[in-house]
Amino acid sequence: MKTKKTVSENGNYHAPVQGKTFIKNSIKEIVFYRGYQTVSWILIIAFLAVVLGMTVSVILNAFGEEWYGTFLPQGFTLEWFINAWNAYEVGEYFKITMQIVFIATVISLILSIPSVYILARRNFPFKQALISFFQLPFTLPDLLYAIPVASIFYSIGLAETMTGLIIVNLIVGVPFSVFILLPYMESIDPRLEYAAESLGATKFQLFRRIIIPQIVPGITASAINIFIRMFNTFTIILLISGPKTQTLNVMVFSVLQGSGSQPPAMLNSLALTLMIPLLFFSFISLWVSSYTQRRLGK
Amino acid sequence: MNRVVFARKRDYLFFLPSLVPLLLLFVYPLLKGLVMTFQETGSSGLTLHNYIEFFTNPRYYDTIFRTLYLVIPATIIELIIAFGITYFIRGKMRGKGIIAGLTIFPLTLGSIIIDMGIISFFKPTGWFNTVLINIGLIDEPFKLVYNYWGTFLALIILGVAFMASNFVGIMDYIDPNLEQAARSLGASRWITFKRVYFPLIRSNVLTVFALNLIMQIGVYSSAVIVGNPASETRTFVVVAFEEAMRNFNYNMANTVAIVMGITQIVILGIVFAIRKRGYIGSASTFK
Repeated sequence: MKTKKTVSENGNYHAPVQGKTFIKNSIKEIVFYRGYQTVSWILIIAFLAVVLGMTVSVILNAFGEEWYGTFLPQGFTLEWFINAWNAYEVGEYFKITMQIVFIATVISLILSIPSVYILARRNFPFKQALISFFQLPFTLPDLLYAIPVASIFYSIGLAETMTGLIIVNLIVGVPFSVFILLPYMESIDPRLEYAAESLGATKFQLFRRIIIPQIVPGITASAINIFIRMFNTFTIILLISGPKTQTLNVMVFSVLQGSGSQPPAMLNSLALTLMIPLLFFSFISLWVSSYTQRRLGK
Repeated sequence: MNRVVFARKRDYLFFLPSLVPLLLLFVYPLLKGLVMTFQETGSSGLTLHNYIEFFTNPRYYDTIFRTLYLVIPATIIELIIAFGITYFIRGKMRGKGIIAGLTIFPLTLGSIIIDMGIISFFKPTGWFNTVLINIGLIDEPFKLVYNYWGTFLALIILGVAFMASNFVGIMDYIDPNLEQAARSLGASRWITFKRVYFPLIRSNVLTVFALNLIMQIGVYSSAVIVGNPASETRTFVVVAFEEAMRNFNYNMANTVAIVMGITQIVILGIVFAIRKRGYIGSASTFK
């Protein structure tokens, strides 16, 4: 999630500008400003109309009966959606995807928490360089490492297997979870740990009883974000997936790619099967981030 | 009180679980990939054959121009739209949350759904053309899908969403007092923007622009689904995937990927050179 800050204590800077108090607007400037406002509103409305229109028309296409040239489809039916669900075994791929993504998320979190702890608490030479190194995999174009990974995986027999797909997802998950967890870990008060240590807690007890409970909001936020990111991972999965071990979006993509003869309603239904879980996860993510912000604000 | 503890030797062990997968899955393939481009399939001798093939065969080197011809105009238009929208809704304004949220919304959907949306919305019988014909602006529907424009539109939707998501954060960090001070000293809105606001935001905007540009150079699914991957939208990634998945020539595929990476670095260099020339300092120093 991007940091969204409030506009500061002086957010009301429009008021004196538009008001009568101390700034004189020349006629020319008022005309100019009205023009600017109009153009901005047209821009905003046009862009949002396209975004909403696209989303709604995918949904209407998927659930509409006949739709040629009229503004709305003739009638609505669930037939296409059910057809697409059955013909492409969406349920099966959905299950595979959820398994892969869930296992990979858990492994990524377990692997990254110790490193995050050290990064937050200890100081050492080249620390900043190490943090930047953790950010490299999701700033570099993924094609650069995806192709060699695919050729390595094919030569050692990990390609087209569930294990291979889970392992490959770690390259998405580990760096990203370090990136998201680090600020949460840094915000935990180290005095609590000193207190626990002075009362005789062992390292393991310290971790389990002090650190983990405090970082639960961070873990939740990062788990959901990694989950969405892995659900969207595309390039590298496409390269190493087999016909039966695919994630949902790679399957949808392969169908759309060679889709000359399919009716559009079927393809839109297929796209919708991808859209529903994504919207669901983003909704959860928004809810969790607002919940944790409210909790932390207290 | 933040007592910073210096790391002991034992502490470095905690990095192993996260660094080992990164080294195996990221650093090693990256290096191996670089070596692969200097080899031919099946042999291990070093040769420049792949690069010579790339830069002499128009099937390959054309992709550089095709990609840039698609992506550079698209990102410039995205910059204008995203900046226009976010600049207008900066500060406190009613409906800001909804406008920003809907602008960023396409990012959550991802590329494949956007592509389907472009097809349903801009196809000859889609809403876009139906509305324009019914208003009477055009007689024949525009051909906007399965060609250059289809990919172009998909890039614009996603690019605007990405840039806007960053701009909203950046603009929130600029102290509104600065603008107010300029206005109260008699500067017009345009002068305030040109002399106060823009210099402060310029470097961050260019960074986001560069990030977006290198991200969009890697366009693939939009080029294949809404574009015409055989000719007009034959981008780097389309060619790389063709080599890897149809011809199983990973060496050539990776050569394409490396050339793409170099193109991205060159463009990044150009944008950052422009950025450096007018850098005046951080925008949030006064806070």
